[in-house]
Amino acid sequence: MNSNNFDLNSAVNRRRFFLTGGFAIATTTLLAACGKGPQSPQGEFPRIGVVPPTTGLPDGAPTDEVLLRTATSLEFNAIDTYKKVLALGLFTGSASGTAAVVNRFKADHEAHAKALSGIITEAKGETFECANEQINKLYINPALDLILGNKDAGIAPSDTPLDDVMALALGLETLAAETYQFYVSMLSQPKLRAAAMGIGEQESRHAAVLAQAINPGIAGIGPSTNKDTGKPNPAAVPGPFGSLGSIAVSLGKKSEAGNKTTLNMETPSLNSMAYEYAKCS
Amino acid sequence: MSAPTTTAPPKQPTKSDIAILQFAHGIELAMTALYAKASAVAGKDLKTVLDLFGGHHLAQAQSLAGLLGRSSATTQNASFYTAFVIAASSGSDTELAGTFLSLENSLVKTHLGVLGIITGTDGAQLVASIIPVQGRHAAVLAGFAGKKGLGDILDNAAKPFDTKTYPA
Repeated sequence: MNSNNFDLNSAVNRRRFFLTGGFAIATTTLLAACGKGPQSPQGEFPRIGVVPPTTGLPDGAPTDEVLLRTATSLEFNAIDTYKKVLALGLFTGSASGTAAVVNRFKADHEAHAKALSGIITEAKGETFECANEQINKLYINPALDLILGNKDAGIAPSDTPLDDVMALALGLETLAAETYQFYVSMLSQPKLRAAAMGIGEQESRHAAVLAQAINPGIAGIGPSTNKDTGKPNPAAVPGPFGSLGSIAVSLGKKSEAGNKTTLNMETPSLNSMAYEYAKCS
Repeated sequence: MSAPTTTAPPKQPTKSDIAILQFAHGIELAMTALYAKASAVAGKDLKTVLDLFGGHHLAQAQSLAGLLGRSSATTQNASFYTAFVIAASSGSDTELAGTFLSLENSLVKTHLGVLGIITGTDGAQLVASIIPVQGRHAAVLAGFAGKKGLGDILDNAAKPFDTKTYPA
């Protein structure tokens, strides 16, 4: 016997007692944490605090109806934007003729929206007669903030609002034209492809008119580059095929370096479509 | 709306697509030749535009040839070329521009007709990329043709070219 009254040669001594006891406590704690019990309902991980339940979006597929609804929503984006632009009162003096152009474009977009809704209704689908929220959020609202300024966001108004409005209009018309061209590859029926491109072709003409208004004359017909910024100038006919690339629109007050903010617009993809479950608010 | 089809449209042009796209190809080749004729007699500014647009039609014809491969048209549409070669190589710049404005508008309608028939998605995508450019051509040519009204630039009441009138 030693001073601890434990026999060193015994199977149970003080050191072994602590080792065995510690292992048992650790194992019990681990099993309790992983096991089923009131704190850990079946099938759930243990949590601290309250997590609100989430509801997933319904399944959506880019069917012909969805594509046509999305195209309609883009027409309403253009209609709403032109309405806002006309209300700004920018088209005065030498720019008074531009108001007639904007009014004609707005009327064309209204006719396009009506035509698309007619196609959807004829096919017993549900129309979508309002602007695309995602396009507003991503492109149009930021663009209007850059043109008109937004005190809350610390954005100063543009020093060339008329030029910027024209640039935005060119961007929107190009976006619409590209969207119809892009959707041809997704539409299943040839007659719908033709109907879509019949509208897309008109948007392209709008874009050509705007490009000539911004960059007039022979130099503005084909592609060219701005010597100061190194960016492409607006062109009435930028190339032999319709582009599907992103559309860069420079807007807002110039920075100290002389640059405007550039917005890159892209055709509405899967996360921006007017699926069957989407409703106009 | 009707339930979505479960059969994906074909990618390559079908047999019936090929015949339609051959017609479009022959017209594009003829347009290239007509633009070259016009460029030789046009004034400086219009010549610049005609050369640019003629180049676009050549690129479009080449892409259609690439799509059709061995089935592509071997020559331009002769009846179409013959029908327009005099108007495309004579007259004032305004008249020349008017001729090509009319041709481009009809070509837009022709390609829209093609798009409404063909089923292969490769051909549809290519034709869809050509249509807006020819619409832009028309918008520019309207200015050279002395058309100042927005309706003259934006509206297209032209009739499409067809195989009965212009057999290959």
